[in-house]
Amino acid sequence: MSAFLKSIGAIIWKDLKTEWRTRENLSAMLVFSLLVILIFNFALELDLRARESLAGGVLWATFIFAGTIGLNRSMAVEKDRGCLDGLLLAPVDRSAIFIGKTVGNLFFMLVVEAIVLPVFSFLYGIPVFQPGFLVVILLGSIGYAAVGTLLATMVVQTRTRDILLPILLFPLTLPVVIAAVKASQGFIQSVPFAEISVWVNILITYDLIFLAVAIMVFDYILEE
Amino acid sequence: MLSGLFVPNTFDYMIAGYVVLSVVLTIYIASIARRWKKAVAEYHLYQEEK
Amino acid sequence: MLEKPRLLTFLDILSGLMILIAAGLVFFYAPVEQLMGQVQKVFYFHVATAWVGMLGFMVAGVAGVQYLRTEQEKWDIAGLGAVEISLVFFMVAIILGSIWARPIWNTWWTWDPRLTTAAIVELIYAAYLLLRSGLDDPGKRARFSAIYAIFGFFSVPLTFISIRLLRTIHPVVIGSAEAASQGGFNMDAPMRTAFFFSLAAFSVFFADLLWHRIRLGKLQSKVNLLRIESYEKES
Repeated sequence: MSAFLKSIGAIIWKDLKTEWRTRENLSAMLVFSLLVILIFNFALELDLRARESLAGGVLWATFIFAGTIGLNRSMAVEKDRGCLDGLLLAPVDRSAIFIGKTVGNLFFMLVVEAIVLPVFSFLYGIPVFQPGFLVVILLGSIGYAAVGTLLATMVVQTRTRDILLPILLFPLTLPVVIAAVKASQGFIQSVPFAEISVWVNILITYDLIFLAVAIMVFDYILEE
Repeated sequence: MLSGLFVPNTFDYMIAGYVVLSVVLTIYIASIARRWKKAVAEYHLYQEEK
Repeated sequence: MLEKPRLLTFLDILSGLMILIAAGLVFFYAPVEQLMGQVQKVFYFHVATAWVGMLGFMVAGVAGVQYLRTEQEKWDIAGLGAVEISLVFFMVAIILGSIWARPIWNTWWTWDPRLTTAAIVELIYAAYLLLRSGLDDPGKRARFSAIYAIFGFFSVPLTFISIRLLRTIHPVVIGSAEAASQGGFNMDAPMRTAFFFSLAAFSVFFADLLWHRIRLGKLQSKVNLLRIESYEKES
């Protein structure tokens, strides 16, 4: 068991260290997010009140797009540098690879979100530092990162690579998007928690189901 | 009160619906048939080579 | 391998007959609905085709699990066949839903949760087919398709529930409060007969089509093997 946890830790640490050297992936995700927010600002020229009603949607659209970039690059780097083969040769439980990669991807998503949120709050004048709101962001990111990591591991082995990940990922993560947007919007507009709870439940259910299924199925992706 | 007397004439839409259904299903069945014939022809081709 | 099993021929005839009878029931036995007119008759086959779409969807998920467990090619063929058939039938169901909506609500698309979910399933199928076309290794292609089908199997019900909840919390008022103007209608006994018989007829038709499609897949697979052998002999 501790060997299992150790291998997960090792994989996460490797990803963090590699990324810290160049910070390419993080900067790409960050710049892209800010650009998306900018585009939305001009695409949806609205008055202050209308903006508030769309804030949740704009925020999650940004996170989804930025997340896709991060996922793509994270797995592509593995494949191109042959790290994937190296990992497979090591006596590591496949699930550990999945959990390690997912936590790494989740971490990068959260870092970008942590930077984007204050900017967003500043531009849209929306209070975002409520605990409930932050929990929703975490839950949504977990579900997205888990399914995204699994699909990215598949996609990186295809011919069509980059463009295929969003095509595969978006339809499957719709429950996350719908629930996260509704829940975020609920917190932003101070809706009573009883009404928001159903969306939080959907997020939790999605995360549990897909983490379980992904772990069960991941072995089959890395067979050679 | 009058609703029972005048049934709206949506006949054209009904016909459109059934036409779409028949055409699409026919195309699909034909596609399976065509692919089958092609596969059979290729099968015989390779069998003869043996 | 090339000979058509007699049971399949029987199934062909049975499904053809049942569909004809269903059509007869729909056109001549079920009454014309008072508030919508004849277009309501589209409803019977609209639901029946959507039902077949769902059957195909579930078969694809199960075939995915079975392929991962057994690695037998027939499950990959079955999964692909089920996706293909489900794709066609959901497309018909969506179009029929659209045709039904137009004269009644004066709109082509109603964002109804079931139809919206069907459209999303179509997108998942498109993604499934794109995934397959990007993989040349047959083993990988089969495994990855199976995994994607399994993921779809779990995500679609959650998506449907989410969309449903979305709409109950913000109900869209389509017309007056009457059930009829919201698109509902009450089914009397002849309508119910036509309805359930259509479901049964299309279920049989689905089994028939799937069998044909699996046969096709198996033959194509055999031909591929022969083709590879033939190339190897040449070189």
